[in-house]
Amino acid sequence: MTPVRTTGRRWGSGLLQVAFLLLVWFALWGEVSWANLASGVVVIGVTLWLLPRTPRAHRIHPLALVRFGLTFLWLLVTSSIAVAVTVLRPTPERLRAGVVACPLRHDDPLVATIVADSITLTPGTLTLDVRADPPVVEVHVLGLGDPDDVRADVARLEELVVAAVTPVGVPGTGHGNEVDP
Amino acid sequence: MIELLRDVVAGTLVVSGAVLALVAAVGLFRTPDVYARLHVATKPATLSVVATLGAAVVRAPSWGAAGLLVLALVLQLWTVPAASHLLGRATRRSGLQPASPDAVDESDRGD
Repeated sequence: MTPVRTTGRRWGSGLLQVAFLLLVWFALWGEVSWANLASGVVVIGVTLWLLPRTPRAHRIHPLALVRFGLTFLWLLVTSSIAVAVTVLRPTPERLRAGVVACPLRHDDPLVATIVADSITLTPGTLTLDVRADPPVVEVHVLGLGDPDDVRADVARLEELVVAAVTPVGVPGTGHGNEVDP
Repeated sequence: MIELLRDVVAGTLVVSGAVLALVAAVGLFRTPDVYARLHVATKPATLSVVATLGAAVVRAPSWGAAGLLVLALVLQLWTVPAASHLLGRATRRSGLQPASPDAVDESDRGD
């Protein structure tokens, strides 16, 4: 049985979120004091009020999360080296650019955010825009070869993310986030 | 022995971080357009920060300090792509084309 933790449960997770953010706030100021507590509560309150709350629940799989993290670090290293090569020895092929539309298979804000973030830090690709309904990421590619390869890479990245943070849909309605291709 | 190993690892990380930062700076001048510059400003620049902070984690005097550095690292990885995404999107919507003669463009220009 995979360890399962669901995010998005109403009060319990809300309090947990505030406690965690307070911990981060104290860490950033380097000191636990009443003044920091008061300012932290205000800042966290305003931030949470401004941010849209995602009504979707997710299952977090720690092992898959570690796997995604390691893949991500590896991609960050290779992409930095690739960009460095392009900068030091620019050739027309390496500078060939384009904007490729990559459809996502899951219509889920958290998954789309993580995928879009990772695309930017992986070789050759940079997220320009994200559209919902149907979910599509527009990706700027440096050193473009076949656009279908880019789509395949993004799809693989999305599968890694979904394996780590699985959307479970709105409770009671079953799994309702998958988009038919 | 462990001390020496830590020094070697930290030193390697700091030097690679500095080299990457230099490459990123040079890249800003050698790339043809905003989009390519965004690539340069995100990937090597982020890895350079990761490497430098990683070196500091290896040499950190305490667990608390190491935790704080890891926090800074995670926040970097989380926010840098968001910033570049906003710059890229703004550039896109202002109608600037990639400076590449055979550029592919599949974006929806409807917005």
